[in-house]
Amino acid sequence: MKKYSFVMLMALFAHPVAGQGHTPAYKLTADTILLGDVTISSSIPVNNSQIEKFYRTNSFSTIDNLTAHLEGVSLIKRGAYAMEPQLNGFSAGELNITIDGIKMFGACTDKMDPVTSYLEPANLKTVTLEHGTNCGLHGNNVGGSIDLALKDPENNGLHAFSGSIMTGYESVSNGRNLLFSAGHSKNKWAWGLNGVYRKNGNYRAGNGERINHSQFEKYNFHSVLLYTADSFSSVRTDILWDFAHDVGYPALPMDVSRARAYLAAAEYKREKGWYDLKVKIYYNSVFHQMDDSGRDSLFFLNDRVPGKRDSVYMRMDMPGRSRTFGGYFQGLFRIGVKNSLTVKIDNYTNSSLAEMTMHMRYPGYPAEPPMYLQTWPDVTRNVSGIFLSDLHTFNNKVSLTVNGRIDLGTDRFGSSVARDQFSVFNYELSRRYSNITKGFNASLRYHILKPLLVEIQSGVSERVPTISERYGFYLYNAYDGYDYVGNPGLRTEKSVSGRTEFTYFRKGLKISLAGSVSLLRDYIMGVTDTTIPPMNFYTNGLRVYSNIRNVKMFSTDLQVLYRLSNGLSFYLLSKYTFGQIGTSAPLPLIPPFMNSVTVSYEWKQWTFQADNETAFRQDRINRAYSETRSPGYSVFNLKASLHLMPKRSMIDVSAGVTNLFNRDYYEHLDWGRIPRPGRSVNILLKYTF
Amino acid sequence: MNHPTMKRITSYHIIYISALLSILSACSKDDNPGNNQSQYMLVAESASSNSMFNVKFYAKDSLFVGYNKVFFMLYEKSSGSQVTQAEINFRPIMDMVTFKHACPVENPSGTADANGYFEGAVMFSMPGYDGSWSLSADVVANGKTDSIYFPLARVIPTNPVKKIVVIDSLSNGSGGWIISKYPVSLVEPDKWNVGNNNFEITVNKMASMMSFPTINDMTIAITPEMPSMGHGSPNNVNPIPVSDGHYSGTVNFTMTGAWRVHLDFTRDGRAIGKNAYFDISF
Repeated sequence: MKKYSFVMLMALFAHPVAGQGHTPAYKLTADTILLGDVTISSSIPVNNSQIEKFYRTNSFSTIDNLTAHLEGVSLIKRGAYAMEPQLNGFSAGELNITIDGIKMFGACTDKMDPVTSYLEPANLKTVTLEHGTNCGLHGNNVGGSIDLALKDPENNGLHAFSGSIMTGYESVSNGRNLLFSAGHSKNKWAWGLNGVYRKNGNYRAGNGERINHSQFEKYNFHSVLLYTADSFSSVRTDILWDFAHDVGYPALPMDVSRARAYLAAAEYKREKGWYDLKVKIYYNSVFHQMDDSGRDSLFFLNDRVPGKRDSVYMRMDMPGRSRTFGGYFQGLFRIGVKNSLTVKIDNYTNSSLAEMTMHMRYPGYPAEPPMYLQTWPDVTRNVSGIFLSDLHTFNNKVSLTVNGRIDLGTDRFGSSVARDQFSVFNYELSRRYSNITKGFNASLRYHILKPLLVEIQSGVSERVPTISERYGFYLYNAYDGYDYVGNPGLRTEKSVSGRTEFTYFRKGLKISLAGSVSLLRDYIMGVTDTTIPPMNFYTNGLRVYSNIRNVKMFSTDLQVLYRLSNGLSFYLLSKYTFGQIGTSAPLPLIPPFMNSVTVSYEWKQWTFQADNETAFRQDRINRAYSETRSPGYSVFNLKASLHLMPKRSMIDVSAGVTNLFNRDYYEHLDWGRIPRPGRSVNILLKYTF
Repeated sequence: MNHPTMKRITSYHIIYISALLSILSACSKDDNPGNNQSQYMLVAESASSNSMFNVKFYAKDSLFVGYNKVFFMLYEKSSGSQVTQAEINFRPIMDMVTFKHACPVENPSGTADANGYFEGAVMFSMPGYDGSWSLSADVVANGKTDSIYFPLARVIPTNPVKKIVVIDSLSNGSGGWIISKYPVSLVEPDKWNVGNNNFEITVNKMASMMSFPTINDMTIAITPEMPSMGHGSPNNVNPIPVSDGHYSGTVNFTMTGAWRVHLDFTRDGRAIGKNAYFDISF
């Protein structure tokens, strides 16, 4: 760990001296969080070592724990599993979530499987965030991008064959974890494999209550094979397989019996002096089976026989499929010493189909004929794009990046189902829907003083409505209790955004303050339509996705890292987001002010860490959207870890307590106000060879 | 609604569908596409009373209580040549031993279609077995007049029903009641779909046991409902008169399953039928 921290520190302070000669002064990526092997990057953010440590010392952190600690990121929670990331108040279709540029889309119409749920921290090398409209590298969008890069083959330099095995236990959910990773390198070949197994039971909340349907079990494997032909070029293939089953969602009326994803990608890379080339092709497939077989499906109906209450059994199956095939070419060309041009040409094709079948049964009678519909009609979206970016370095203090992107997207239907279903709403669906979207951004980095860096970015972009927003058919949203219906006539959501970031660094101190503003036109959200009757007996009504004329969003975050020479370090992350519809109504689902403080102390082979996470109450709510106030909370965690290095191997032992004071709490974005886990003792053992 | 019989309906449906499929597949095997004789089910075949014509009687399906499309194919018996111009008047009779009654019909137009079928309809009002229902017809063609008689082996009941009777009770002001009965039949499309569906019904009035004039001044409102889910659907269009005795509108189904289409009937400004409905499962 010591060695590691040292490298991290080096990385941290490498910042001001980077950017000489052919090396671009500052990488395009604003915030790269390194998770695995340390690579020296010119833009290591303030919090990367913290994130890294959090992950290293707690194998219980699923990817959600990780993302929650990124600046501007909050999580929408529906269960103990698969939380949906929200960046500066943007979520779902407003964000590009990619895996090293690979487009992948969840197969759940209720957003229960964001792409991040099919990854494990152990699969990842880096997480790269882009804020606002400046996300054109991965597609035109309004909220930003989260790019998750897959891990390289493990090679700790100790042996040709190396690996680690890690096991842990979490008391609150009787959770057991097993993680392993192995790497083998020989001559020009390197191979890496890592796997994760997690099994968690129902967790206990701070009030002692057992939260039913919060269990899950999952397996994840990632294999990477790398062939380095010479010092310039390499070929790499990745295969990822993730399978979760028996995943409970306490905030929803259904659970997930199976969620399976696999991904295969091949990449060719050539880096030679004045240019870097990367060509990648990929395919991924997601299958998500949602049903209520684990639930009590007895409902009571009032008017079946007039004046009589009747009981009825209903079962619901909702399988969803999403398949994406695509590829891209990306080239970086260094033109002279001042310019570096990035060109990216990409294309992907995504096919989505989600079905819902309800089986109704009255006690004592044969089952009724099944009720079937397609919540996502068989639709194929093909998007081609071209991205151009030029980084111009004026001098060693000032650099300007200008980038633009054009995307051409076309949606086509695989059957007449969409047409038939939408005829109910008097829509005449076209055979296909096409959009051209444009994005343009500029960002300026200016080293005002030696320890002070200012980065200003501004741009415009737009996004195409998601499959749900355009063609969704009776998508039940358990947050507001409404069914959502798509709107094929939706216009693109457009944004003008700006972001300013100040970074101050001096000796062990680094302070970063950032603010983002987005002005959105044709913001897409569900609007209640009372003319359409509700679909079943537990929905409040129906909402149709519509364009809202204007929405403003503002978010700011402050990060402070202070590292003293005596092994003590201090880290603070504060985030605040504000959203408004028109001139007065609050935008729903905006997190309150949140603050996280970590103090850690390193002594010999020991690391001790205490952290606190505090959220203020959220009073700015949108009642019309069925949003309710949330109280604030404050939660403390403790950790201690020991790092031993016996001959040619390493042993890490750590123990910790999360939610030390057993607080009964929930976050504002948590669906159904389901309490979060209470006090939990975690232990972890890791052996590296 | 009688639930235990639900299962039977589905099996009937399966029989219908498989019958239809076998007909269709037989059709597709046919080498001569112009010869579409097997497009419909042959119900019966007979010579007319005075042996002037040979008549083949087809239907889309097994005959059932409700609106049945029926098809006659006529041949001159002496020459064997097919007749394409004829006036045909149906006379269905239910022989209930003690008395007889008829049911509403729609007589074919005078010209056969391209395949030689004279298309009409019979709205059987009750089930019948072993010839209790018969379909007679007067045929005038090529200057000859003859009649034909088909005893019907079976007219089956369906569940859910495809024919209802709307009963209007009007006080005559002196303690008595004027009762009017309106048989209403559902004209089923080939297939019900999720989405827009044409919803067509026929309305007649039972003037006597033998006479069922069409009614063209009824105001009809439809409200589809999925009883087990407690929901309906948007943007339905109430049926309006489209041809003699026929009313057509649009019913929207948001999913497959068991639907109930409620019907409200108004005539002469008076609501005459309440709680009427057709159940539609698909």
